[in-house]
Amino acid sequence: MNSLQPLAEILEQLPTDDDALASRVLEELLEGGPATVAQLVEMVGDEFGDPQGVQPKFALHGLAIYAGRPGANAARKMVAETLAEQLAAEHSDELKAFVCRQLQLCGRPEEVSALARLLDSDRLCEPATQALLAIGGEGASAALRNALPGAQGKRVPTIVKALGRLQDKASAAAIRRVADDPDRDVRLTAWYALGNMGDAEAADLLLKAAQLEAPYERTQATDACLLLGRRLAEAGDAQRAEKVFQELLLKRKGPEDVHHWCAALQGLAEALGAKAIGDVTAALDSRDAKVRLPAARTAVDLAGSIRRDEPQQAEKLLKQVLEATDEEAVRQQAQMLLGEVGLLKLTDRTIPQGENHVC
Amino acid sequence: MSADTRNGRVSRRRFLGTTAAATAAATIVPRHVLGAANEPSPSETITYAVVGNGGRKDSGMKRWNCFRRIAVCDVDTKRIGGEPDNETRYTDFRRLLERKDLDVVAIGTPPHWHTIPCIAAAQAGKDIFCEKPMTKFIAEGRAIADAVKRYGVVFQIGTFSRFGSQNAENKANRKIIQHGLINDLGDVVAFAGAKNRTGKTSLPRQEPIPESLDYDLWLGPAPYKPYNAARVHYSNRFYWDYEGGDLTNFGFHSLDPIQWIYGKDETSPVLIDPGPAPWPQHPDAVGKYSWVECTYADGLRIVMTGGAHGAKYDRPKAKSKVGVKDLDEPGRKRYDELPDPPQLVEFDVAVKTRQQAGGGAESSHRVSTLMNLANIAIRLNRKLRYDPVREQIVGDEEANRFVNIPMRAPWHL
Repeated sequence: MNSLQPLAEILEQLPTDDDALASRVLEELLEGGPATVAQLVEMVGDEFGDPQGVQPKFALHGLAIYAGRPGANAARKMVAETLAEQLAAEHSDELKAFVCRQLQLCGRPEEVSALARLLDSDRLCEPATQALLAIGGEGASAALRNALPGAQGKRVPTIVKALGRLQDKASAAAIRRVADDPDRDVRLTAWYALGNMGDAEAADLLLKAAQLEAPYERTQATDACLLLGRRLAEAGDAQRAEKVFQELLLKRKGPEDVHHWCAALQGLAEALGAKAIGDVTAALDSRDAKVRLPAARTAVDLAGSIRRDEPQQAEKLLKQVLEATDEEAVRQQAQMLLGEVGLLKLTDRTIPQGENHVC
Repeated sequence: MSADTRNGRVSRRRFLGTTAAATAAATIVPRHVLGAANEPSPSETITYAVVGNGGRKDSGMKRWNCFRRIAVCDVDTKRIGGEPDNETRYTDFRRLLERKDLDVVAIGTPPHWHTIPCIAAAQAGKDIFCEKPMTKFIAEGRAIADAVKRYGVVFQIGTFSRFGSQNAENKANRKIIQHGLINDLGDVVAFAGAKNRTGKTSLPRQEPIPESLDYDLWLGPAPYKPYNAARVHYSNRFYWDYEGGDLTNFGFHSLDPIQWIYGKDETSPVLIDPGPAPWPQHPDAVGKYSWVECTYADGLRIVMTGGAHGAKYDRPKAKSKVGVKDLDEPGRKRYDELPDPPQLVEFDVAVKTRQQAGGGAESSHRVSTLMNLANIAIRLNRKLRYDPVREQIVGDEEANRFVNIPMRAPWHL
């Protein structure tokens, strides 16, 4: 950095339409190293909205992005490390929250420990958690997992939700313990977290919650069950996934629950593939339009997923879709797939298996 | 089932659905079947409630006359006409969604508050009318589209330019593209204009929160920032935490019909070039931009222009739209033989017949994706490569941090 030019004057050049100038200014700031970055943090000011902090904010935000671009590893290391150090300095919570948000952009696994130290702060737990989520990986998961037992108040749903998003199965047992917490936010985030991490041991707990009377909680728990079923299926546990979806299909037969029933049918079809054809076909025959159209969409998706291995069944299913619905978009998809299945069948007849006609 | 049984009412649409099923009736039960003489039939009145009763209120819903408003909900009690009674006036949409006699939720909240109520409405089996822009970041749109499909509800975005564009010319253009009468779109540049207002980079310091406003709920999934009046109620759209400026505010209107005409309702561009925009952008306040060029896999370019700022788009282009005039003689003959594009389904019809509405969740998600990608490129000041199937930016980890931004708890996708 040109030591003769005051920092404030350099910052006045930002923002600019001139790409080359912006890069020059940011390179100049990077040359100033950790001292310049720390000085910029100081200049932002402790109070949110400090008018003196506008230009330093442009510069710091620009640095976080510029240093975070692909391939700028050395610059990113310097900026992220310095920002992380600032989290331990004597700054206001608002200023540290701003620094966390820049680390949300450019932070690396190396900055996890500095962010983790903020998880016991009521004000900073949330921005630190968002930065940890952006960084991801085992380090971030472990930091959040370790912070959960000591968390209180709003920090609990913040951390539980983050562990769910990170699909940290190592925290499943701890989250199950708060799944019936008196605080609704804690309960609901716990259900989401257990569903999203595909915790098979939470199946009974979630299915039970889905029977609650409070309507909002009931829908949230049902959604967590559906999420759990999908995650189990993705993990190859079709048997447990089927159990979850079949339980919902059984318990959601009333007219008020049609949407839940349809969602469970979709999940079942995704989990079981061709084995779900019977259930889907039965739904296509429903007299209730609110069942028939979602079932038609599910049937088209199912036919698409089995068309190569089971072209005859796919074709039959698609023809049933065309009989069941007048909905233009679904019919178009069904017709396209029928054409494809026809081609596949034609190819099967003309090209003997195992014979390569291309080479 | 407890829900809203205090008045013993069951949604008329639900009642109808059940009755229809029980009596083996057709999809729609016409008025003459269920409605007594001189009485409105249950099939003709559908109930709705407004979530976010600010500037737009329920103006979008007034396009159709079969809907009847039964409640409003807003986190600012000044906007619901009195103290909340959880009958006709609510401050918490979660409570509102518990009503069994509610069919449709009209969402007019700021865009950072679109996704959560949309998904919650789908989970509760309610149909959705959502003001534009649909979402603030890309993963939100995918989550809404998936939820709408999963729960089999109807979704309509609150812009009708796609419907309005069903004039002869745009329909003809859509027909040309749909039937592949012109395949090479590499020299076509379609322009979508928007305004270019900005947020205040120098806000006054923290202000007292008005008594009427539940600021924590207003922020919802957005990061906590100290209250300042300039950040809420309309001007919120000029702060990155809540919307993407005029590019997303107005861009949706002009992009929606373009995306429809060119058959891009189920895909997204593969290359995004932010053009010459002021940089760095402020971390909070939305700044100006000049133009953003989005290129699809087939070469079609859609360029978003921001009006009076910076250099104008000056890259080579052969035409800014396709038309019948671009067809050769065999092409014109084929054009005459082919069917017109199917009529887009209006929301009221879609709700009654359980069809997909013309401005559905998937297409709206793709329009929002265009704008959100543009804003990411502007904020990062670099070109982006995008995978429209995985819905991820390719080879740029930092850019992907804008694709699925963490929400403040307890909110999540």
